[in-house]
Amino acid sequence: MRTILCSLLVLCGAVGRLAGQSDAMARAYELERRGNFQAAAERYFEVLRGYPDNLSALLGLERALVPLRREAELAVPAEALLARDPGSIAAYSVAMRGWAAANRMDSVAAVAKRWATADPQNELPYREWGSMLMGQRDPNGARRAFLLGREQLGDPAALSGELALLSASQGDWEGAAQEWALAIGRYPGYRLSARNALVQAPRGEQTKVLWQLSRSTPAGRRLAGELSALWGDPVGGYALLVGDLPASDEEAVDALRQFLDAARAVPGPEAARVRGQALEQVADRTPGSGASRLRLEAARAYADGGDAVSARRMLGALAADGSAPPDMAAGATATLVSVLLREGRVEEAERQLGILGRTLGAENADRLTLQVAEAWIRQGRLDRAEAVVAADSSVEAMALSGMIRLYRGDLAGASTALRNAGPFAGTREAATARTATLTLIQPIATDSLPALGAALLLLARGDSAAGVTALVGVANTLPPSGGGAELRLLAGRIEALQGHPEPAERLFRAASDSTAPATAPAAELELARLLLSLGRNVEAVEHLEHVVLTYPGSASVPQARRLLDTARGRIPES
Amino acid sequence: MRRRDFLVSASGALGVVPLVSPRWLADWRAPWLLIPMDESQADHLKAYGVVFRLLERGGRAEWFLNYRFGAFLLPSDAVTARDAALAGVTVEPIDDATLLGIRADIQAGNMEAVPLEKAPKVAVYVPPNAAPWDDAVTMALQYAGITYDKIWDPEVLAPGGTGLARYDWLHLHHEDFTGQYSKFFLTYAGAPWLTEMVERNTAMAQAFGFPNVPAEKRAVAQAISAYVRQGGFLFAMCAATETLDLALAGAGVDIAAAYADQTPMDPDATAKMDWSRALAFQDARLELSPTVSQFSDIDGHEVNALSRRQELGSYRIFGFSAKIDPVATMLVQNHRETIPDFYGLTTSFRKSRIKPGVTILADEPGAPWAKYLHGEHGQGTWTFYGGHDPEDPQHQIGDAPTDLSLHPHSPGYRLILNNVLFPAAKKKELKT
Repeated sequence: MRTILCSLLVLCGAVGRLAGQSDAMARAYELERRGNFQAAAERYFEVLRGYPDNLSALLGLERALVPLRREAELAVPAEALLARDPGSIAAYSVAMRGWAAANRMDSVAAVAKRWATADPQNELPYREWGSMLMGQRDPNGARRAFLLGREQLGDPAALSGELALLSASQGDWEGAAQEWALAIGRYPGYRLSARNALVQAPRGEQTKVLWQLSRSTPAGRRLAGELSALWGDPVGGYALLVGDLPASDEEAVDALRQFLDAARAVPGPEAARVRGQALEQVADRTPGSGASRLRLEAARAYADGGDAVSARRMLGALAADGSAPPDMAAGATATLVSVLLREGRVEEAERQLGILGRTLGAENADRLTLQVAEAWIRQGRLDRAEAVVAADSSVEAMALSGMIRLYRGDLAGASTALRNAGPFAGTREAATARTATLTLIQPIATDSLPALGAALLLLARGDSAAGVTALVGVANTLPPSGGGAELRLLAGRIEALQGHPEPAERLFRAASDSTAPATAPAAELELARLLLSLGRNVEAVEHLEHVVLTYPGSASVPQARRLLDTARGRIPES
Repeated sequence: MRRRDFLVSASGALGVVPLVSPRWLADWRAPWLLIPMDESQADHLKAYGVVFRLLERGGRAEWFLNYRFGAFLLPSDAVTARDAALAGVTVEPIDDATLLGIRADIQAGNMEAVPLEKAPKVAVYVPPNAAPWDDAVTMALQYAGITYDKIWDPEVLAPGGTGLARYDWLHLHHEDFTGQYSKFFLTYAGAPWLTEMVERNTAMAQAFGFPNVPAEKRAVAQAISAYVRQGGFLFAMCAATETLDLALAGAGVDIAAAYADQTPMDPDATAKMDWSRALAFQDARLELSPTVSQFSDIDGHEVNALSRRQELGSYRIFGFSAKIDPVATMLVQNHRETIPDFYGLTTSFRKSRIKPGVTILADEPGAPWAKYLHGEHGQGTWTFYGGHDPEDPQHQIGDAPTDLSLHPHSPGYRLILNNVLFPAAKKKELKT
């Protein structure tokens, strides 16, 4: 009976202590939640004084001490907990942080070693130890800690990610590449981290990085391929990749997709062609409709890269493939027509559009029809262009008809059609171009001026030299305020765009005629812009000031003022 | 010189055939030009440049404190009218009768007319290679067209203060006068700009015979403090505010981390600070961790201490009595009373750390910090403005520079430019 009574008393005492501990923790949590870290820390300390092995209290204490910048006080309670429970991983980590905050790196090392003894197969003690040394700006100490870990664990790839980052931070990119190759061999999930880290290697180190990776594992060589692409050699990168593609389709597709992910960020036609090749390879290894989609994507990439033959190879079959999903066939048709137009094969593009156009939605069909008409214009075949849009009543088609009339010299008809098309047809750029065209022809008094149409058609066909000569010829027949100044301004802009500053300057000066006040400020602004680009800032500033002071109501004034600020170095150049 | 004679000579000095522009020529023919600073102003920031250039040419102006949010009155002449037209600054030509009415309004209300008589000679403390686009003040000066000199440690440390004595107004931006490279040493380790900064500062410390950069920067801080004591006007923003005072109060104490001076920071540094040497702050607790890009608990926002970082709010500019306290009134002239806040390495100033006697010009209502401070030191004055760039609230290193032509009405930048014109005010008017 006495024994039972004693046992009950002991049990009641234990339950009471547990309840007290739980209450104190609840109070500490509440204080922490309210942001009263000072009081919360005191409560956690109180709990730990009574129950040194309460890990929750230790972790709460750390949360409270960090905002108070008193992390150094963590070391003692963490050590007390470890004395009772040497297997507590979290307590080792807290103890190390506490000693590090107290700048006692010898104690950090001692805790790390005790932890490693308690858990000999774990990388974590060495990882934490090394990271803390890095935080103390002791990279050599950190390296020693990581290498000691590697030696103790008996694993040549252990802590390779940490050593890679450390090497890179010390400018040893070759060493970093070597370590990353080990890391991705052991943990494939590190590949993205490795790529993101190594891509920052300075230009002078990149060859060494690639060499290190290419003499490592297949995964390392594939990483070299991605880096090579990101560093501007997509062709070489792709060669490295395909030389080491895994045998299994699944792994090969994964590797190709990783390469594509890298190559997508690389601009230029070469990269686009390589993307096309990689996508084709993925498509060949993909079953079902997914393959069609990939081939379409490959075709677009080939087309962007200027490889029309490969693009058509992808698209020809795809467009005619009755089993392909409808949206895929439509996409293939649209891309095929665009590729043919880019190659200048307008006749065939029009034929393909006629045959396959039914697979397209109305909007896509209309857009491609207009592209075909524009391509005929570029070839000087106004009759064919007119025939293509004849049945189209859209405002975009009306705008194009206006341009065709203009190229024929029918200024009145062009003006009516362009005005009827309004400001909303087509893209914003197309609308702006239409407005500019109207501005160009409106001051001209005559309804018909075939010479102007011919000059503008030359420009539309890409013959800028002949176009400018013809334009100036027409301008010479017109008074400045009757279109002459506007035509010279246009001619000057084309010369400037073509990189011919001398004729551009002459034309802008001629267009800055005060008898054409609607054109003069814009022409003088262009002149100033040209002079600035030639480094003739003093002259440019004179003209800009003249625009601001002489034409205060002109729409060119805000631009002139901004350019004036730029010329004087008052705002950063954008 | 009579005004008409001056106008004739000014036209001649232009050396150009008068341009045909009815608008600005009409402006010129009126006897006075009023630059309104209310909502009708097309470019608030450039307005300060027009006034500054007039003063530079030897002209005089008046600052109508609290009249149309701080309008300026300028005698009309061809050069000024042309300058305003080119800058896109709104001017209103007014005659003597209208001016008489304005003066009567000023006399009757909480307003004052302060004469501006001399263009202050402006110096900006920056390393020689610094681009103007990473400092709000140089951006404002550039944009407004106000001339300034760049000076650095050699000028500040010139014997007997001769280097600084040539200037009326000195600006400091994000310099770290504790010599710890803004504590970016760990975060940006290896970044070329930081490497260059370390090399440049180390070479400068060696050239002047200092054992390390923190010691040299402390000497610079002391020279700046002496410049203010002897009558200079100091304007500081961002980290320069806090670190200047830390360097002054920390004389004889190691307040720099080991990477800056090869010895760890004195763990008792906080207790050893002598705040009587500081301009604005007292009793601050220093940040001991070398890895946190923060210096002390002066800053209320703690932008780089992620767990303690405070969200941005808005700050409110205080109103002052223009006739009794024209200095403070000048510094707060603005067309906005409440302005969105912006971060900097030092964003704000905890009120509990501000010395008594310092004037708080702006604060965030309900928050325990102030944004904009002003005080006297010896014969001179200082103004501290927290934050880095008023139009780039979350500024990060490497961000594109702010294009002020997109912010011509920026109220935050106006506060900076108030400070630039403040030393132009006639001295006797400042003694209130």
